[in-house]
Amino acid sequence: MDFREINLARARMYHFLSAMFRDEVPEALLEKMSSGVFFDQLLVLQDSCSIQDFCSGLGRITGYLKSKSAAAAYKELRHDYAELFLNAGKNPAFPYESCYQNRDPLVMQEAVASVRKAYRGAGVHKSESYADLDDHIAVELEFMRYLAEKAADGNDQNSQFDFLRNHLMGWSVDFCAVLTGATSSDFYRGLAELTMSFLFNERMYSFAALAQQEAAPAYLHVLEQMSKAIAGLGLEKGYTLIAEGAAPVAANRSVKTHCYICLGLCGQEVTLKDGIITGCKGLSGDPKGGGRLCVKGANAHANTYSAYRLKSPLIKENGRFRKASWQEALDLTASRLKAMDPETVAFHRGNDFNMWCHEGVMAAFGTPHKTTHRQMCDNPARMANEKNYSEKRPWIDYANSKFILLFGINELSTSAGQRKVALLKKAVKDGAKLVVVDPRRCDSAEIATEWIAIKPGTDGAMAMGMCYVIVSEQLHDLEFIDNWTYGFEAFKKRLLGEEDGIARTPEWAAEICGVPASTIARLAREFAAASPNAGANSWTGVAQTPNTVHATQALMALNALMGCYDAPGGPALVRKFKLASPWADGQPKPPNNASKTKLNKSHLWSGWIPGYFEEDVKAGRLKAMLCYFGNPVMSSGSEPSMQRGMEGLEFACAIDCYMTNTTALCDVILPDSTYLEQSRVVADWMYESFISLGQKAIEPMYESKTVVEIFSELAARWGYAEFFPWKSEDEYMANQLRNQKISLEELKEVGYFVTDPQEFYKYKVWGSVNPPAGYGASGSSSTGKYNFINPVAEEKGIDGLPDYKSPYEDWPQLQPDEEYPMILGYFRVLEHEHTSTFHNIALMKQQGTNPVWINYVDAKRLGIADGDQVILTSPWEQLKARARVTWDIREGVLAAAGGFGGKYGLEGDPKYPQFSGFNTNHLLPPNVACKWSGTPPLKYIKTRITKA
Amino acid sequence: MAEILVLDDVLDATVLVGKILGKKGHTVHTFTDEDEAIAFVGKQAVDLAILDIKLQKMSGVEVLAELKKIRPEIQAIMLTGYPTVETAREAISLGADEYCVKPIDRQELEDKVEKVLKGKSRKTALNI
Repeated sequence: MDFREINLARARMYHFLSAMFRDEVPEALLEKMSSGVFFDQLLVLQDSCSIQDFCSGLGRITGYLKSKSAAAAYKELRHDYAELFLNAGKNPAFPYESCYQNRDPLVMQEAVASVRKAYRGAGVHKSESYADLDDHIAVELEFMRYLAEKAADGNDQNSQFDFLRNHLMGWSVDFCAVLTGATSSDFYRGLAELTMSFLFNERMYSFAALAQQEAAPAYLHVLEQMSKAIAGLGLEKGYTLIAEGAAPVAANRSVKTHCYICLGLCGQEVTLKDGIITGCKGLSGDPKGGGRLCVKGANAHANTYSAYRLKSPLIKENGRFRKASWQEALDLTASRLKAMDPETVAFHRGNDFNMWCHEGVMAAFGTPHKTTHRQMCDNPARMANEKNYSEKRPWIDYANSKFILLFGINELSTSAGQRKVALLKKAVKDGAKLVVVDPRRCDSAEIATEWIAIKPGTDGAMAMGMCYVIVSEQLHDLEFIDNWTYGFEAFKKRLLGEEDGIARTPEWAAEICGVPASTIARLAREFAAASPNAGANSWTGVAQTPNTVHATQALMALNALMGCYDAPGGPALVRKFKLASPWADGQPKPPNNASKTKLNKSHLWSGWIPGYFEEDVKAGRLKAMLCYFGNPVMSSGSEPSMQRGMEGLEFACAIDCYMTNTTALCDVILPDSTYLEQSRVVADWMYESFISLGQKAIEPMYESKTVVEIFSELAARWGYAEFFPWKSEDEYMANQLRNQKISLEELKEVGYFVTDPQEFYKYKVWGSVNPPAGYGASGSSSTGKYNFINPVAEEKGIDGLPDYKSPYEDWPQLQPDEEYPMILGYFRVLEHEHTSTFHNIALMKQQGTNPVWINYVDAKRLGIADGDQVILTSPWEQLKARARVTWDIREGVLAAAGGFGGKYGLEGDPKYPQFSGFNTNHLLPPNVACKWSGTPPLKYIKTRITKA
Repeated sequence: MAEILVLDDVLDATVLVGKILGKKGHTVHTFTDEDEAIAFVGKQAVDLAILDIKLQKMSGVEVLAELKKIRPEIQAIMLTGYPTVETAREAISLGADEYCVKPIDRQELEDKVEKVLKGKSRKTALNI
């Protein structure tokens, strides 16, 4: 071969390899590869090839092609391709240079900037029609083809060798080794061997070419034979992945948005270089974050750039996923759901991103069974607050507080980036008393003046004991109670035991909650002394233990007894200046075709309660599910039970960014965009009322779509296209802002807009605890006052007064006993947000596993040492974990960080064995939820722990 | 400057690498015997090991496994004249930072060593 022929042969080889990696291998191409010139030539080469891995690779590929028909090979390879390259499997082979710089599963790293520079230098760019990334192996291989063809024409010789040495050679070894380890297919294993061997020989060829020496004859022989073989495939003549013309460098910019990694909406400024996100920082002045971000927010772009992202729609066939077009996947989803009675279809949504759209679409579809994370999260707290007061989470005004009493709410982990946490820390530093009631010394307890290690699920008793002291000692704020509360006299009777003969004294409480009566009485007096500049609040530490609606009412009643509500330092009254409708004036709004059917009923709350999922599926009440941004299998109840429920459905579709324990059980998966790839506006509140912009930083990656696009497409297939007519995000956002004093363009510049400043005692001006017209909150009080008696309970004629209610009457199976003497629950850590951050390498490096915390005394008694492997057994399931022996948890209590136990992503990937944990929910009883609120007892699982 | 161990069963190869890296200011310890190299790492801190894969008694990958047991933080560049995906897999699983094919020219060697030592390419071990 002469110089030109050698270069053209090399180009052909690059062309072939690029075609093998760029997408699924088409059936027609496999047909050509299985017979005729290509196959014959490969057999000839096999006999004469002396290059070790190249021969081996050829042998595997020909062996595979010979073993089945092209149609069968195509079918099988589609699944292999999805698992290896589209992240449908547990052990993907990331085809990006970025992923091998540090062997971290992150795309769009420095390598992309570097390959773009090379492409620009050669006057080409990655083709817009190829939805994958610039440093995808297929693009780099096609670029080498381009350079080799240019070299064949006598143009620049050296740039191809520079690119080979600086790019492909630097990472293809890792990639081919990973691919070899990940695949069970001889086709892809052979391809890996072929690719690595070819590139090594290319390197040797480059040395020879640069030294103007003859290339190795063995290599020239391979090139000659492969060139003839590839010529028989009739690959397209033009370039598929690169296009002529250097792409201009995009200007550096920053985008003002609000972080949604924990749905907390802290102001965030995203910096971009040449269109690539390079970092996230706090948005200065933003009311929610105050210019701060937590570690999750600072690494939010590692969610977007996680190499585990789902890239295209997937359809399951015979138990394995394959790639599908949007058209096929949407048609299938829409038709399967449409064929069902909407009353048997469940809609689970894990977030509220542009929820007016997906809720509108699903209401038009007609399913009454919608659920959010509410039921599994904090429904008891919401039930206790949103009708008693006017807000589900009345955050305390920490800046002015003198006494802060937190029951089961770990602000320092769950809301670390928010301004309120900075204010909490400052208040404590400045002398405010912080009392944290939690069986575990959580991060907030670390900075607290007092840590009260209460028995799980007994907060209501302690709060009632405190209320008793305040009322019996007449410390309460009579003026507030007389004018701004309802039901005090009944509550007082309950406290003093005038109803049932049981006074809720500190001594009574101490027996139940394990906190000394003297401590309870002292804390009550201190709270009263600091009032009204004091506040009590709670969250899931209380809400996810059994029977805690009344308990939450009891602890929130402290605020009402002392007139702390909306006082400086007390729980604030929320008001959000409402946005206008996304639908413009005159635009038709979608119909609500959902019946009022309530699938499950609890004493206070009715609707779809996912805790009963398996039962509902078995009984035929639920037959299909559409799941948007949620992982109910891991989070909504007993995981094995949820899994059985999913397996019993006739059809399930997930809209998600990643493969999860839930999406893996679906028939169709539609790739969602992360929040950095889509936009919205919301009315938010953090002491001030403000408009918060979620502004996209980049276009949706790969073939993912925004949630509005996905649901609008479904709506169109169900005949509701006219109601979802927007052509752009700006169109509906502008509609939503038409009643505001700021335009969309102005909002994009600043990111937020304060509509109302912080004010105290707003109810005195409003004449009600409910915000005035034009403003919203998450609840409302029918009396306009704080209700000691839960209005919903009162209406139903059931007990609505604050109290401690032993759970064992309703749930005898939950009571610890000799066999299962301990109580297990999960807790949240700063580094993770439920189950949604376990594909994020930056956060997994911070917290990559979840040992189970056990008290030192318990551990010693059971012969368990720190780091030991232990077996956790509940009456329902068993699993293994590592022990963390510590004094920082109450005796008799076990706890581990939540969100772990994913079967995909970093935990599921065998390449990263250092990342793994377990899901405490695995040990829950099946089909169980609070009889009052529908929340499963996620933090109250009776358990036995033994050394493994 | 770094402490670098070079192990190759060909003495000339170790001398050549030693000279190149010595000129860059590194302290280079050359070995042709696997046991001596492993024993050395047991006694003295080494930042980087440059290991030939084809040795007399053990493979370079086996030596790397031993060195990682003694000093998990040690960085490694593997050299081979016979690249295969299997040896690449083993080396990467053990946390080798680079897997290079001989011959390696002076510039490439200097670049790789600098990159590895600066931590720019400090890589996670992949269990593959």
